[in-house]
Amino acid sequence: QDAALSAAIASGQVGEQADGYMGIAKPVGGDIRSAVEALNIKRRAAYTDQAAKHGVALREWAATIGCQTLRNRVKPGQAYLLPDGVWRVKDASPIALPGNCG
Amino acid sequence: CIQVKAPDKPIEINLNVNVKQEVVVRLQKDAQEFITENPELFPQ
Amino acid sequence: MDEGETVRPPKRIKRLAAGLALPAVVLGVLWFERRPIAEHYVDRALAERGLPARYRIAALGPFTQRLEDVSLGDPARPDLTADWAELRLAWGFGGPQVVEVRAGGVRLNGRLVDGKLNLGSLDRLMPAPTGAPFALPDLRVALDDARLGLETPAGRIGLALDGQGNLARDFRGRLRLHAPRLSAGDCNAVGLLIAAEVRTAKSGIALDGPVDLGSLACDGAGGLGQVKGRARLKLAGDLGDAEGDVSLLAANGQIASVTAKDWRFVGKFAADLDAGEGGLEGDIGFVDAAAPADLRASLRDYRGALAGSPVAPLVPPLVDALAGASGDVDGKARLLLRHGRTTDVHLRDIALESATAARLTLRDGKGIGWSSAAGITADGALRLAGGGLPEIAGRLAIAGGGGEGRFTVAPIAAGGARLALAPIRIDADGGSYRVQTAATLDGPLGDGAVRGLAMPLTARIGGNGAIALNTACAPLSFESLAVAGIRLAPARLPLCPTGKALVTIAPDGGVGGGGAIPGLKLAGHVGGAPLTIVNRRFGFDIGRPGFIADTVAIRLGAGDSVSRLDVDRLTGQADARGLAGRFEGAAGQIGAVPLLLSEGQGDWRLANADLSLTGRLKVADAAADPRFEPLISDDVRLSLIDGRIHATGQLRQPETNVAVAAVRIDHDLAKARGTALLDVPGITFGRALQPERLTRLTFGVVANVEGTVRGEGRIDWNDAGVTSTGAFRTDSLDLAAAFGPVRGLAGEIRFSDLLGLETPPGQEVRLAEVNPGVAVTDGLIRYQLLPGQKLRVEGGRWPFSGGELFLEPTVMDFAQPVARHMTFRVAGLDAAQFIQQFEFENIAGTGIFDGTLPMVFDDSGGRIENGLLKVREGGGTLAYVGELSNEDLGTFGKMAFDALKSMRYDNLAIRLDGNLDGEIVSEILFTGINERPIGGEKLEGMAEELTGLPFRFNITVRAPFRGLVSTASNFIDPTALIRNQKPGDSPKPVQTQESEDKR
Repeated sequence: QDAALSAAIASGQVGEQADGYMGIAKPVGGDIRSAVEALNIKRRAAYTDQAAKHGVALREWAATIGCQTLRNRVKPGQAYLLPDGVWRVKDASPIALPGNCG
Repeated sequence: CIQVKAPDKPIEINLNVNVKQEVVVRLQKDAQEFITENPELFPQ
Repeated sequence: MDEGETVRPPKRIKRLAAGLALPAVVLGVLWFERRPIAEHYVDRALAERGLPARYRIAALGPFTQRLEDVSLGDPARPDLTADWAELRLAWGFGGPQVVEVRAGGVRLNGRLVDGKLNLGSLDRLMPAPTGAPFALPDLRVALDDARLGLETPAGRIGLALDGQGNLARDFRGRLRLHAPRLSAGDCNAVGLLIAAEVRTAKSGIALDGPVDLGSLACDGAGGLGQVKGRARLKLAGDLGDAEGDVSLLAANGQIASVTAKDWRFVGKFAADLDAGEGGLEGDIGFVDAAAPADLRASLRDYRGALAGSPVAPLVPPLVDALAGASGDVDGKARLLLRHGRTTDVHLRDIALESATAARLTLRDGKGIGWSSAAGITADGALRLAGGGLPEIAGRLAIAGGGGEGRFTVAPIAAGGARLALAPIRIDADGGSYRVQTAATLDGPLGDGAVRGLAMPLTARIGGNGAIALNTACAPLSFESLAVAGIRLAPARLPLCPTGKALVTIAPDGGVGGGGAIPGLKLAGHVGGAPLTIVNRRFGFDIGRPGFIADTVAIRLGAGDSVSRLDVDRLTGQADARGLAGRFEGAAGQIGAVPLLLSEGQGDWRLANADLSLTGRLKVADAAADPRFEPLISDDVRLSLIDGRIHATGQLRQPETNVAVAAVRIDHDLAKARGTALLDVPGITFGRALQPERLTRLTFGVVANVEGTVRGEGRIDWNDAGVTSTGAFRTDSLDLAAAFGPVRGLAGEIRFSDLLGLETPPGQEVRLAEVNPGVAVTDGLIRYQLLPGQKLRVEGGRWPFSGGELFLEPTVMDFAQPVARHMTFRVAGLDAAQFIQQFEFENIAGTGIFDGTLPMVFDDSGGRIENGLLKVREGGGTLAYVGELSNEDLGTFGKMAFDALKSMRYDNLAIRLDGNLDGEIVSEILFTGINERPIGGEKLEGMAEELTGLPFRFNITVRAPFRGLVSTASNFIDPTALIRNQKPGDSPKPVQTQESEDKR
């Protein structure tokens, strides 16, 4: 599934969200949906451990990750979701990060 | 006895900050490290 | 028979007789000259002829003269010697006439050179040939022990003659012929001895007497031993014709490799010596003929030939009959021999009979013959019967390379097999023969039998003996075939030769050939179930026993319970234990069992009726969206005995080769009913193996699974349908789910329909800890899996902060990616424990609460939507010591706030909303009285101790639920803390932006 998921990311069908999880920007097949869900489950499990280790709420840790992924892991042409709930496609300019990213 | 009228708006006691900025900044370095150490969780 | 050998060319007989008469003539001349004159005259006469002679005249009288010690020719090697010789004279007008010659101990030496008699120096005395027909001289002779040593190209012959009488009229005597060794061509006669009465008459010479021959052998052809017999010979006066009869008995004889005893020949012969023609006719016979012992022994080796085939039972009796018959045969026939311009030999009225009462006769026709002109001929009625050999009758007429034969063969039956041959047609054309017939066979096959297996047969036998059977396609058909529980309906199949012929037998005996059935179609039944077999090409080679079947499609059963087996290539060889071979590219499905078998390859063996297979196989779920990923097995063992399949194998996950389940399948072909038992001793999930490698169902539902699952399953099928049950259990499984990580999942799930993934109600699972944002431990959920991947939660229970959390029954559809709604009921929640557990720093309180917390779980996690908790009778206390977020509350605000430091309430309700993994907003409504005085300058005139004042509060609390993990990993990593709290740590990230993006 990794190949299919990478392709979906590259084509902007799925993308990183400000809340630290991957989201579905455009309608995708069942396999891609399952792959995104499986990825998010693994992220949530890892975030749960990290949040406890850093003594913060799970959502806070997840949001911190979200800032980093938006800041430097979204390539031009790929989709991303800001807290306003609007999916955008990254162009050459850097993403306008949510306020709490600092 | 004296009737104390409660204020019209419920008293808001804020026990925590909703995702404070300083929390994000404080954990920025760890978050970046976490991402690089778990590439399988962050496919590109 | 090489009788022809005894007829020597007639000229020799003529020369021989002349040679005998010569001594009489010579002696006559000597007498006439009388002694000194005689001696003088004779010396001069002989000297004239250059013939040295020595003799002594013992008596000289007018009527008889006697010479002694006579020696003529070279004194050292005289050509003629005699002990004595007497001449009797008669005086007549012409002077003395020799009327009688008497001699004793005559020794004469001669040589036969290319047919002419050569007596050395005596030839000079011979009268010149006159051209008149030879006639015996009219002279009285009396010979005592007269001997002629004759050197012939064939060997040395010794002749001895005794007797007396007038040569031309009434000579009586005894002739002894002795030849120690005669050889001509590649034949040798040893110890020939003839002692014959000699009788002359006006009509000619008659010889009569016993013949004795030690042995006659022609290498390569055969020979006779200890020949004894009698011969009577009549020579015509002019030695022109000869005839006679002979009877011979050879104690033993051999022709080629057939030995026999008491060879007997009784017959007559006649020859025209002048014309060089002769003939012999007589009865020939022998007894106790036997083929060589090693040939008969090797014949018995064929008793096991064609083992396993329907014709097998016929072979041993036939072989025994042949071996028996060829062991002891008496034979007789009529021999005719003609020699002249052409030579031809005929054996007529042949009759052979073996000790085993097998009889072969060839009658009323010219029999078997060979003619130097016409080659082999055969003509007559042939019959074979008895002694266990097949009964054959018919006629054949073959001559000059052409002709035909017609035979009928009675059906041959033995041991449950029966072979019937249609009338056989033999046609000979130009030295090669064509034999046509058709065979119909019934016989055993494995544990069953074939009836009416029929095929036309056409064999072509070339001049060099090479045989080619069926050089063109011929229909092979059978009425019924039953084996291994399979019964086939009548079929008619084209059987074609792959090479030149179906079967080829080379002159040197090498057997070859091969056949193929293009487009084999068979139909039949196994028990009650209909069976069809379609095979694109079925081929076999005679050289390599066995067959190759390409693209075989087998269907068993009808409707949706049909079992299907397709094999790309099936090869098989017959060996001692039955039939065995390989199969490749096998795929199929057993009845309605939703398991697709494919990529099958391995070995098979059919021992009379039991089929056994071993090999590799792939098993996949037949469902449209498969419930499990394909598995492989490389140790499949399958057997089909009495129509029942039994198979075992270890199923493994292809990429990791992890053993998943041991399978045991039993299937009754006839009843189309069976059972599959699955045993899962233990599948351990971890880094190497995750559930999504085994099934798609868990992908996107659970991840990071660690732990071992054990269980067993059972699938039953019959024509009513397929049912399956199973039970799987785990003692401790960790996993990550959509609602958060789960630790220590344990329990057993019992499936009422394993393949449908349905369970009866009341399944239980324990969850040591679940953390949807709030860690709740020791959960127990009762559930039921419903058709269509639906989960009915019958209830769940967690101890929670001193009370209990109950999950209300709900139904979730895992097939649809929708938000899951779950309602939790709270009972007996102890406020104090709740606050302590969630570390609300600046709140303290008591009171037992009940209520409901409706939750929604979706992609982003779990959240509470208008949860409500109410305190029970008796209320509790509340104290808040935290700072105030908005300072300008006004006097009443401050007073209320002071009161909160220690309140006693009697009713309190909390409304809860928010994300479990983030922030919960709770609105608290309660009325109560303060238990500690309220400080504050403004309210003069009130008692200092302002306690017990009634308050009504409406407080909103916004509190995060810390992600608490109650396992050992719940420790703060000091290094992380230190790194984060370095003094002067600037918020700016250390790495510059640009380097960050270098991915």
